[in-house]
Amino acid sequence: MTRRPGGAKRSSWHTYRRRMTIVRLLLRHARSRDDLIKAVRMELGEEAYPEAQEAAFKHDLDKLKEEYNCQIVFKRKEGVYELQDLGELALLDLSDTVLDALKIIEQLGKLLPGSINLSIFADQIIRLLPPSRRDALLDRSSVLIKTQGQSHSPPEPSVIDKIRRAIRQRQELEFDYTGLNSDEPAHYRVQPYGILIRPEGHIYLDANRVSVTPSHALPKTRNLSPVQEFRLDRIVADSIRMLPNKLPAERVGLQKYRIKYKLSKEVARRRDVASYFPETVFDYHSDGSATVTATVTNLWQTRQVLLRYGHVCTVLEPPELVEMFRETARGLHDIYLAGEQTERSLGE
Amino acid sequence: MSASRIPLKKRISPEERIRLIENWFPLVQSTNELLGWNLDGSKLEELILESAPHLRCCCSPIEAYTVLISYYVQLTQKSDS
Repeated sequence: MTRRPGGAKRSSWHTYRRRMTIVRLLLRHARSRDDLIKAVRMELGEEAYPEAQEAAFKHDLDKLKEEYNCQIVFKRKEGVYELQDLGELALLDLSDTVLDALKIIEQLGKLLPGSINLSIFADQIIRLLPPSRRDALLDRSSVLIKTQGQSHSPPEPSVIDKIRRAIRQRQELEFDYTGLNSDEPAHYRVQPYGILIRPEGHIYLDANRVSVTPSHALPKTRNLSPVQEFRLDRIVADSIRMLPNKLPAERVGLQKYRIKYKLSKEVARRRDVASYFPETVFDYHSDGSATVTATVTNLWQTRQVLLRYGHVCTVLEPPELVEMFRETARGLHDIYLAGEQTERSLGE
Repeated sequence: MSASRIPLKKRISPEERIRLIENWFPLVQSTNELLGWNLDGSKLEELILESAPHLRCCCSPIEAYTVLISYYVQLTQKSDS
């Protein structure tokens, strides 16, 4: 019998493809021998295995273990082969940035109900990683804490830790804080009630102020209300301390305001205006406009939110919010129109 | 029943409830829009109140998104059943 030139090379390539196909099929899930042989034949053609297919299949598994260090075990009870480790075939080398993303998916998978299947997805990807990258992934254990969205100066972990504990244990905190009014930090004693995160990524502590030193650090407009938000990245890290004082049973100083504003037809005519405040009620009018009512406690934040509408929103209630918008309008006028008026009066 | 076992919305005063919802509404609404959940205002309030015990200790946006997605899934599963 004469051998065709190149036949050995073709046969070797054929065997290699067969073995890689087995690995790929096992990556999806555990399978029986017959199932694997059938699937390999479906992919590579009937000639993929010789007549003595069981012996060839066993040889394939032995070679995968021997040459590539793959760990393939036979699960007798289920009658299936399971790929437990890819060994040398773990070729997916991901950058640190992508590992961070994978870690988030893995952690989300643990938090979300099983029906979301993110854990299975993460597990399958992790199995493709070489051991060194799997170790690197393990080291990125606190990536969810470290990732800060668009916030450029993340708060110190020690600050976060103490704030969390104080909120859970309902205990007062003291810290130095650099507010907007001064470059020098002032010393605050506060009752912490919660953390909040704005869509732009800034993180705040929502608290009641008990005292501040020096007292002139406080903006005049806030003198009456003890309720204040503190940006976490502006708290001086080594100054924060939990105090033994417990928080009162009920938070004091919160004032509810019913707000009312009118949106013109440019934004309201499709009747799909989004809610931005608690207890929002829309009253759509026949001319396309809408009157919106809601309940808030933070007029400053309310103004920030409503400013997005520009001139198509008219604030009607409460008087305090109307006055804040007048103040804003005066400021905008001074910036954009004062020069125009001067030019006009000079022209006359 | 210990205080922590009582649902948060029943433990806090009406003012605190408004404050809590108000604090998280902008982020929750932007998540609602980004992920196409199409929840109305009352459903968003429910989502905030349900997730509040975890939400108000979150210290990064990704943590907050994680909590919100998790509770959103629970909320939709509850309304489906």
